[in-house]
Amino acid sequence: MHEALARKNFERDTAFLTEAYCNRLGWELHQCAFPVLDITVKAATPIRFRCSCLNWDEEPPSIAILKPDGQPWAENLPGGQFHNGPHDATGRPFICMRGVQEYHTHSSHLQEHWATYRGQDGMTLTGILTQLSHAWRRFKGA
Amino acid sequence: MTKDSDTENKEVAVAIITPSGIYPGEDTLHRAEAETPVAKVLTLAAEALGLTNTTDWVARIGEREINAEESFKKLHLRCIVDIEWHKPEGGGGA
Repeated sequence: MHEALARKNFERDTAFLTEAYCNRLGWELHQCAFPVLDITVKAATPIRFRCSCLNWDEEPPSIAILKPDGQPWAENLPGGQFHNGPHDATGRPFICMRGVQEYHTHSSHLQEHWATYRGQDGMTLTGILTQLSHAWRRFKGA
Repeated sequence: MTKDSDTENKEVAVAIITPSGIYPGEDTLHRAEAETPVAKVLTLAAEALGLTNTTDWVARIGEREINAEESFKKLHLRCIVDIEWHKPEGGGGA
């Protein structure tokens, strides 16, 4: 995908991502500059998601699971959408949820193509992060 | 009961927070009668934000999922209400 188009898509999908918007969703915004969208989800156990969106939205974001200080997540993940891995391509823990690159590239989900979801209402970058936030808080408490 | 508190109980001020932005806006609230079904305000939000396919979306207040067909009053929602409205999370279990 041409970088200029990916950048345009990224900027379109994050144009309204203000501090006030993030506060309403319980997010701390660390970075929102193409190709990186990086937030911490405030929760009983906070977690940070750094999205690499180099080919958005031809490809879904690749999401790194981090501690709020930016170090790699080192504790056990609860399962469900938060998989301890190792991912068969990256060798790391990963997010097992549609809309995330590591889900669609995992051998268990190769038949479930991102193209099925691409462009759907709610499958934007903020939509995917909203889903992840709720999944995390369901496991770990708000 | 004063007239002011009557109004307070009959109306709610609502913001709908979606992955496409906030309805009616970041610094404004939509006023609705307490008897109004939540879904009616969600429809207004969809129109304003250009959302066309929200059939499987869920409405939540905090982590509590609500039945949007119910009225604000029936859901015991009063004063100022922030509703998150989005597609439910999928996947899980590689």
